Amino acid sequence: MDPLTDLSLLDYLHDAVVASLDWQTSEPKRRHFRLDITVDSEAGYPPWNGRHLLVTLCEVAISRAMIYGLQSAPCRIDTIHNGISTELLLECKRLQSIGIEVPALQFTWVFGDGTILEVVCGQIFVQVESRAD
Amino acid sequence: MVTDAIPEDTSGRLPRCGGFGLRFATRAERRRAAGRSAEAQFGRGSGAKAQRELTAAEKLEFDGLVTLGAEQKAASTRGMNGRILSVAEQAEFAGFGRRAQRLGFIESPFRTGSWGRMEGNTYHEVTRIDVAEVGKPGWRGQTHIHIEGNPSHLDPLTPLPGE
Repeated sequence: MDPLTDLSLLDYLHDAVVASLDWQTSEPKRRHFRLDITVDSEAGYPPWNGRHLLVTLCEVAISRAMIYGLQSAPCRIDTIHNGISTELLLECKRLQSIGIEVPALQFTWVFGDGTILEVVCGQIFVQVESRAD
Repeated sequence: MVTDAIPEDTSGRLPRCGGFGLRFATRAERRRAAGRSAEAQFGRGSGAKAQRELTAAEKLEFDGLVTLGAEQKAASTRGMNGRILSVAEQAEFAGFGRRAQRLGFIESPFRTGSWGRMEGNTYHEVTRIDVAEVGKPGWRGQTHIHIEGNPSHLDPLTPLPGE
């Protein structure tokens, strides 16, 4: 599986339903986030429309989240912005200043329920599983 | 007179300012002042709550990095990564909000534009407006609404349950 190179495709994840967000720590030297999502059938990108995807944010260097759990409607992705907050950027710079290499991908995932996840990671992999219905 | 126009003086010493009695508020002082202001407005104990609920833009103002105008304050959002709304976007959210409010729905405590009801301690979304983000493809680039039980993206004028 190749990493996702056209990151603008992430815009088509608007309204994708998030079944789970796993923090994977089983590999000895790398940690990942894995999102199990179902893309909206009207997403606008045919290869993903209505599909079940596993999105892996590989080699997470640093992340920060504000998660709201007291809700009963499905959790959906609202938008994914390039970039992170000033506070997290400063933390990246601090790590870099002591010689730690920080990867280049910086995203803020905004969910429809108000949850916000900032991630700095090395690569993104998208595995298309099946048609949701 | 306390001002935060210049980066804070962490030493707490009074700088020489030509005898006007001018000194710079420390960050801690600004934080305490914001808490007092919130308590004066919303009641005792609300200071800390108000601090937790600041939007990203408000946080910048709180830290003395920017000064928001009244229009920007009104246009800031909750749970949208500090998105600041234009006047037109604000009108879309407000118009939808008025309709939802008339039907007895409450706005989500977590996200601007989401309306529903509290079921005990849990918020249940019934309807939501997604106002277009300029330059985004697909549905994120088009204003639409969602109504519970209807999987499609709907025209914003679609009647809400009860309309």
